[in-house]
Amino acid sequence: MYKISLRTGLVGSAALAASVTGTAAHAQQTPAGTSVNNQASVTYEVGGTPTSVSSNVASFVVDKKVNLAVAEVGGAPTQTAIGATDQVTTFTVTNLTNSVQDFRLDPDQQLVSIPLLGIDNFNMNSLKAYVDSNGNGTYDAGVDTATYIDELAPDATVTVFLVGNVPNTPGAEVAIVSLNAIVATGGTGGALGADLVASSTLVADSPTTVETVFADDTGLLDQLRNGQQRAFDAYRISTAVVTLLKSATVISDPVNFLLNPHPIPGAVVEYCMKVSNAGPGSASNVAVTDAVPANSTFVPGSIAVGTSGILGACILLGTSEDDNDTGSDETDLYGGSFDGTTVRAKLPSVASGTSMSVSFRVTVN
Amino acid sequence: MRHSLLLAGLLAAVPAVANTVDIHASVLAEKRGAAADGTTRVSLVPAARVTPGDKVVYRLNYRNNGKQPVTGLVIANPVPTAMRYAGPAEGSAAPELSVDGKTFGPLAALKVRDGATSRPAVAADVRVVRWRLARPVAGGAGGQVAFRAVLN
Repeated sequence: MYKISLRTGLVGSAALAASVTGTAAHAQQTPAGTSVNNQASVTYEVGGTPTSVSSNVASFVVDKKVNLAVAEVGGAPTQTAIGATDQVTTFTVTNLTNSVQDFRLDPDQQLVSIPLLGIDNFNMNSLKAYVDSNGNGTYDAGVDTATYIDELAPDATVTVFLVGNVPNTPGAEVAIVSLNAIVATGGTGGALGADLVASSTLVADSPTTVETVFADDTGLLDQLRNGQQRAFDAYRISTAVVTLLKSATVISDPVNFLLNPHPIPGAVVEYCMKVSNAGPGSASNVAVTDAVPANSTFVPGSIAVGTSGILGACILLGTSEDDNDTGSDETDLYGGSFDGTTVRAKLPSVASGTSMSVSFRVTVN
Repeated sequence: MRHSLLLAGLLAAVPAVANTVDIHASVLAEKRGAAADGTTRVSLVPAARVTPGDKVVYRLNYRNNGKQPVTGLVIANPVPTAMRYAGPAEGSAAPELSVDGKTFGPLAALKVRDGATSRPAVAADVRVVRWRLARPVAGGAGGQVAFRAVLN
């Protein structure tokens, strides 16, 4: 026994230099089962006679260092639609073990919500994992049929697809899925080996047998050194069902003023166009256009855009728009303009399950 | 008859001379543990669970079993193929290093030939380590040298 001293630190830095320069060598991990033998020799003179002796051979067998990496490809959810079939999310699995391994593939539905992917609110139907058999990075139905990775060489990477069908569920928007890869015994082509089991740490190492040491890292929903790795992706339904409802309300007339007004010449009529989004996706950049009806005159400065009102009011919270299509009123929350014949309004986003409205007024000729 | 007797004598004599100095190689692993005073203590245990990236210590014990002192003792150890040299072990004299088995020296003085050019050697290039003992080893005396290596 000895204490760590400055010298150990220096030796440590020498080792660091070796490992830095050895990054290329990292790609060639010593295969499990390799016998590493060391033999020294000593030469000396006794009474003027040179002599040479060899030592015994100190050896050990390289154990199996089990590691793997699973990564999602693309970095964004797969955009899909209600009822779509054979929808694909893509992953890669890399064998970082110093021997050939099989990998069992476990496609999982997730209930967790991952901020980058969205809030999970539905499950895919018949979700399966398939290996990219021809290495083209694209799922080919009927071609990519293997459900496990067979005989993956050390440091080799293979693409794996999760393939599933989107259910026809109202309100469904995001399904978060994950691929869990489990290291399995290799060596027999054409068949999935049993899951690897780490050699017990309670049993002393044998220098002559290959023990299994799990060296994989921890991850989200993945434990440290369990011979498994998991990566996440999502399906996002991007369609939105948008409907437009137009209504007219007489505001005042020249005879009755505001009390029970009638649409007589000179009356002010407010048109309200309600844009509703039934989802599941969010509708963006919705443009509403409406020609001012014949026999009526647009009331300047009467355009308003905002969230739909209740109890007969067209707009609850909105912004007033001037008639031109420039200026800061176009880039506040909403935009609106009148070009002499047509009223136009811009709604940057209508969330699923909500509605927005556009109103303007005319006088009856 | 005399010939065969002489031969027998020689055969008996050869191992006797060869065994004047014994050398024993062993492979050990570093095990880190907390010491009572809060520092980290590193003890050497028989190499267990060696996987790529792990560091081992090769220890070479030598002993002069004869009665006469031996001189010019040189211990040479080719670094095993799958291993990278990673410096002398704690408590051991630093070995001379060689990248080709012919030229020995400190790492800074070594060069690796790379086609027509050459580059400075790094620890991963070392193929042989060597210790030359300046002093004679007295009868019955011995010692040990050791170096670290990392499994590729």
